[in-house]
Amino acid sequence: MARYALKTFVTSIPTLLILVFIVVALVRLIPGSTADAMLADSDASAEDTERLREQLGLDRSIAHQYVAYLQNIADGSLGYSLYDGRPVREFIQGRIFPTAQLTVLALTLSSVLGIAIGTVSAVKRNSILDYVLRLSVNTSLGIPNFVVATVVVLLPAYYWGWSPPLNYVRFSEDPVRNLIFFITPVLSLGTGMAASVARVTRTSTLEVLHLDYVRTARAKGLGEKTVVFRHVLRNSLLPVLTLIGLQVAALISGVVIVEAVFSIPGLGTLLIERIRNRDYPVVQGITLITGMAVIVINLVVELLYGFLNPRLRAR
Amino acid sequence: MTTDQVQRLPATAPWGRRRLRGLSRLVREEPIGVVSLAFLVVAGMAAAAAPLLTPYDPYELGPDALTGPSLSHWAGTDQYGRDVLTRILFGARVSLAVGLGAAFLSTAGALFLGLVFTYAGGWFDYLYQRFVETVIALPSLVLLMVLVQILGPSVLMIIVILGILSAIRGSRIMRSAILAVKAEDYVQSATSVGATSIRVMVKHIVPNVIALSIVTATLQLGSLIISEASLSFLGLGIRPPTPSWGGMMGGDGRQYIIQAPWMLIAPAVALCLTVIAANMAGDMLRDRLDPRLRGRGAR
Repeated sequence: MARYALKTFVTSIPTLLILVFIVVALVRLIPGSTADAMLADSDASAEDTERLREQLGLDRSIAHQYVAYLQNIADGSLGYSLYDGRPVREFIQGRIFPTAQLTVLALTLSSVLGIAIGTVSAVKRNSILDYVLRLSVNTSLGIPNFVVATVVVLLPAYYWGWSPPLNYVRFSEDPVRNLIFFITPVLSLGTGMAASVARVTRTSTLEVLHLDYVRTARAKGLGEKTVVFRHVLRNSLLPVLTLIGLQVAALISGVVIVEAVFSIPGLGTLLIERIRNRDYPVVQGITLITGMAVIVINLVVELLYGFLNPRLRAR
Repeated sequence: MTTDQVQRLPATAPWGRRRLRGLSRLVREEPIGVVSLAFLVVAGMAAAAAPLLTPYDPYELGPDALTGPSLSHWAGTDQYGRDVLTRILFGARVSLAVGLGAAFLSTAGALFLGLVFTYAGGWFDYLYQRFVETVIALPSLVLLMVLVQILGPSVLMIIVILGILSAIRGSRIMRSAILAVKAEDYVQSATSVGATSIRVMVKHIVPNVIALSIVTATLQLGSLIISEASLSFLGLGIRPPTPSWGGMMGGDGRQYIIQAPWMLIAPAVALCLTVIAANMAGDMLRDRLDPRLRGRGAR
């Protein structure tokens, strides 16, 4: 297992290095005219333009820039904001907690809900319950989460003059109000992903249900519950785990939208705000952090996979 | 009528009638898929013919602001008195152009990248695969937001960026399909009698993976449309006053929800129906074209 873990870990290093490269290369895509436009509002001199190019590292080769960015990562600053010169780390530190909380809560909700719906749907195949569940799964896959979020916030306000709590409260200030606040954002974010989890769970459970060892388990007189929980799920959940890993990136896209709709002071709203202000170092920092988060979560998923599936470890 | 009877139809039957029977069989076997496809076709035609279908202009200010749905304004008017349904019809142009354009670019791009790197092999391929993994790890909306802001938010630019990003993601799927075909005997024998790489690609590999790439493209359509709508919803995509479904919901729709909920609901319905139809049509196409799924249950 230790060897498997080490191997998995080592293979993610090139991915991380390429991630840094992509983040660095982003600012090189800025057309020259944009740099001018950024200074057009103020009475910028040629000196200012030069200083901006220097701050963005555009006066040096991309290799220089890459090394400089790695240094920024190493010293923990992640670069400095173009506007007030504060280290990017400070921006991110102030905003990361709500985003992490939202992501973890939505991931948990969608996994639990999706696996439950998918399993029930497969075990009760072709029953009315199965049809109802599948119909709702397919419908919710077609509804973008910003539509869900907007409708959840605004329609109750329109019809009943009531809206879900919209003032974000820190967990450290008031844990109860914090969790109550998160109910609607988490629901509007988690349902879409729960639907894809349910779909994969259903398919993979159906496949496992027909395997010989399940028939053996039934033949030796085990109850349906024991068969499903002890024998079927253990195997049918492997593809689901892979899917959950793959969906994390999509989930974070959803986090950006849900944060915007519910005005949550997280990384998503920070990103939108900084993109509008063209504060590229902060934008780079957020891109880096989200990419790293996804890579790390996938690393964990892969380790879990190896832990659950001994055949994979043996290779 | 069963499948056998259709097949026993005399070959001399007029072409049109045979076609019609085939179609009616398809409708019976895949009612949802056919309805979805028909919906998309009608939506596309309505978007193209938008100026002919509506007496209103999507930009011109009208006298009645924020009036509810009525006979003259089926989906009401917005805060400038513009007809909401007209703006939805014109918004369909953006959504469909972005969806179809990006899907096409992504399919062609994925096929191209898949071919180039499987043939290049070695270090090139290794590095490229790590690059693909990284792009997959980056939340697509984040990358899209940043790139569109840097390169400029025009419809064409959004199509190009979305198309390239999903070509990179899709090249992963194409790669494994191409590798599988490359290992087939007929490709081996073509190579051994001296066919050039280009010839093998064009004559043997592409025809065998093209069905897969069409299916992937159709299945992507819905999520590509959602991507553009999300971007415009956040105010980082198509800029007003150009109507786009996401933009209509994001800016004005949310602001006037109490006075004029139709401004939000109408584009939301248009968007959801289109995405659901695209997904259903994609599912049907996959079931029809994927030989592993073909006939499961039906036969």
